[in-house]
Amino acid sequence: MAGVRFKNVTKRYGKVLAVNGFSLDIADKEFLVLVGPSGSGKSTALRLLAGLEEINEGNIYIGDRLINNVPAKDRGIAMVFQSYALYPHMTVFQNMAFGLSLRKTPKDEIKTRVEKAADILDITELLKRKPRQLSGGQRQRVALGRAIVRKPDVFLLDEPLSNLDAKLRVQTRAGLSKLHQRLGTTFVYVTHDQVEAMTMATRIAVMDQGIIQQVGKPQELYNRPDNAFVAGFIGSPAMNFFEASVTNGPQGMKLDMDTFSVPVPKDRLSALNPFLKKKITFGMRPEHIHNREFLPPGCEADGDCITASPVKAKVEVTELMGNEIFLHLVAGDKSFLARVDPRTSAKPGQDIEVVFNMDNMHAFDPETGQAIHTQKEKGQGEGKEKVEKSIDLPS
Amino acid sequence: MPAFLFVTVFLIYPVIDTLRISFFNRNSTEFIGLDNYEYVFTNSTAQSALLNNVLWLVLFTVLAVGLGLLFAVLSGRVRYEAMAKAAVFIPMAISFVAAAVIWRFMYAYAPEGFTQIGLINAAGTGVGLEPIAWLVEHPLPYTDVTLPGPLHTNNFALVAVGVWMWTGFAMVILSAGLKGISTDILEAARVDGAGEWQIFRRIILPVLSPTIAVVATTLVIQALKKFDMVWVMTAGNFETDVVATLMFKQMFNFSDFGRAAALAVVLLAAILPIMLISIRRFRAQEET
Ligand SMILES: Nc1ncnc2c1ncn2[C@@H]1O[C@H](COP(=O)(O)OP(=O)(O)O)[C@@H](O)[C@H]1O
Ligand SMILES: [Mg+2]
Repeated sequence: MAGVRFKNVTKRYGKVLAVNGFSLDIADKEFLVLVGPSGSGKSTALRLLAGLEEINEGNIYIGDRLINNVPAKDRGIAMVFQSYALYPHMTVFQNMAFGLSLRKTPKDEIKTRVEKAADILDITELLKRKPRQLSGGQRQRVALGRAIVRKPDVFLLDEPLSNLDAKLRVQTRAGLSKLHQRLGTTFVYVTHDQVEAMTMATRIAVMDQGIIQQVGKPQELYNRPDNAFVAGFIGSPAMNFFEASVTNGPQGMKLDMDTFSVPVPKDRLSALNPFLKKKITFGMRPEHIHNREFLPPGCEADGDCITASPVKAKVEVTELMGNEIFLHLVAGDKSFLARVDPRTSAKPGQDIEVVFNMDNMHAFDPETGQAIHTQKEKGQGEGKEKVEKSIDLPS
Repeated sequence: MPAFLFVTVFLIYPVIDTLRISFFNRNSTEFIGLDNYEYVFTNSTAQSALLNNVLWLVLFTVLAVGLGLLFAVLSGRVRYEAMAKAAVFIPMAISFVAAAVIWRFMYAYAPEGFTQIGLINAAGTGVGLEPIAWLVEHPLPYTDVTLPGPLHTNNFALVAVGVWMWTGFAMVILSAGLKGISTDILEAARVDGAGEWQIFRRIILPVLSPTIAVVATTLVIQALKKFDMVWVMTAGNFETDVVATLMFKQMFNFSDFGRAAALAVVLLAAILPIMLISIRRFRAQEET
């Protein structure tokens, strides 16, 4: 049982900065997901923690132990590889027992532990098989089992679901969450799939180009992304971005996108004031753009859900998902996606009117990509910082 | 049917005919039962040839596989891997006869006091050691100890050349096998707590064992068939004969077809089971 602390960790491969000034506190028993696009340095960060790569700068602690120079085998970690990396010449039982037998664990204890893990993962009947006689999903569970029997302080998982088919992936996601609760151990999980991150993580760290972009609970990242990268990466379908001018008209402050404009809600006025007569990046999630005919409950009556200026847009493509419809829309030269009520009957080529729920607007500085937060949002951010600092780890 | 005919004419018939000749006298005119086999297993020259072949089989195979594995593992860790491998592999590209000639010069001997043209003796006398007739002597170098049977210095000198030639082959095949082991597996073993040696013993070696078996089988068959090098370097003199060179001598020097055939049959009998085992293993691998 232990937390993990990365302190200003940097890893270079030649000129490539794979991990750059990486600082992250992971509390004991947390399910931390490191998410980011391919090549963002997630695996490298995990491998640094595992002891498979050497750190160039900075420190890593597991519990209160500095582990920079501790060999992988003495770090109290177990790792599940994307390829599962099962030993091909050993049976499932031997695969799971290997780590224990290296530690000279008594035979009967090895047997008990392997059988218990096999029971948890429902692979008891596979114990005598060789890896090549297993399906992808079974191999994946054996790889998990091999990690479980070691009773590590920290579990490291590098894209363990990416070789499974879509249906199995959804099942295994739930299985992993349950396993985490059952074991009560720290999980550090790497994935490029933000859905996996959102569904399993107790906390998410978003990475891009070797740098942590934001750390927070899934809901925090979704509601209050710190920058345009996180805003675009978290959430599916991805957030719409518009280049907008902030203008002041007779009805108050507006975001002007040439072909249409939307009013700025009252609580954003002061935050956006410094950007008056300048450009910002305006962000709107597809689920916050509604068909005018089917406004969600609460939106019609609520003054903040501004319906004063519905936007006319032409439907280009419709994607029926069952309980919702994705509309690919064009307004002038701006394309965007709306996720609307399934009763919407719009056909490609038709014009419809959509409403931007400005309560859920996002604004970013177009130069830095940083979010332009309101005072209230900033307050939440500071609150979050305090929570993180209160985690009891050595410095 | 044509395949059957082909096999009969070119494989089965010669084998059966050799078998037949081995029961006849020197010019195949008279049936003499097992006399030729009695020669093979009791005559001192023939016995020494058999024992020499056993030495080749064991020492040559073990050393070539062992060194090949060592070079394969080590070459994977150096930056100039391609160059290091090429250096070990080059002997394989030389004709065996040419290599044997080269090594005759390497081992060349002149009595003490004369100029040593052999590189090894030149180097040895350079540091004050006495010259050694590597391809002639039986006692261990620089001692008076003479080991029994095939364990003679000249045999070792010949086996060394064979190892020099075939280590490259073993290395190339084994190194390809090593490359086929995913680094994930090795890293998983590291995380599981295995040290370098345990990774080698418990992961690399077992995963590589089918490849090692293929290489070893090839080398064993090479060892049993060994002829060219011995023939060029010593012509089988000074008790360095192997079965193949003795067979050649019986056939062409002594014109004893019966004895030559008996030697051939013994050689075949030794090789056949190895072939069968490796074919069976090959099939087993195909199935899984
Ligand atoms: N062994 C290596 N040698 C050189 N460059 C590497 C190595 N491993 C990773 N990199 C580089 O480091 C960066 C981060 O890689 P990685 O951590 O694997 O990303 P991710 O897991 O997020 O896809 C990439 O640019 C990658 O090319
Ligand atoms: Mg990766």
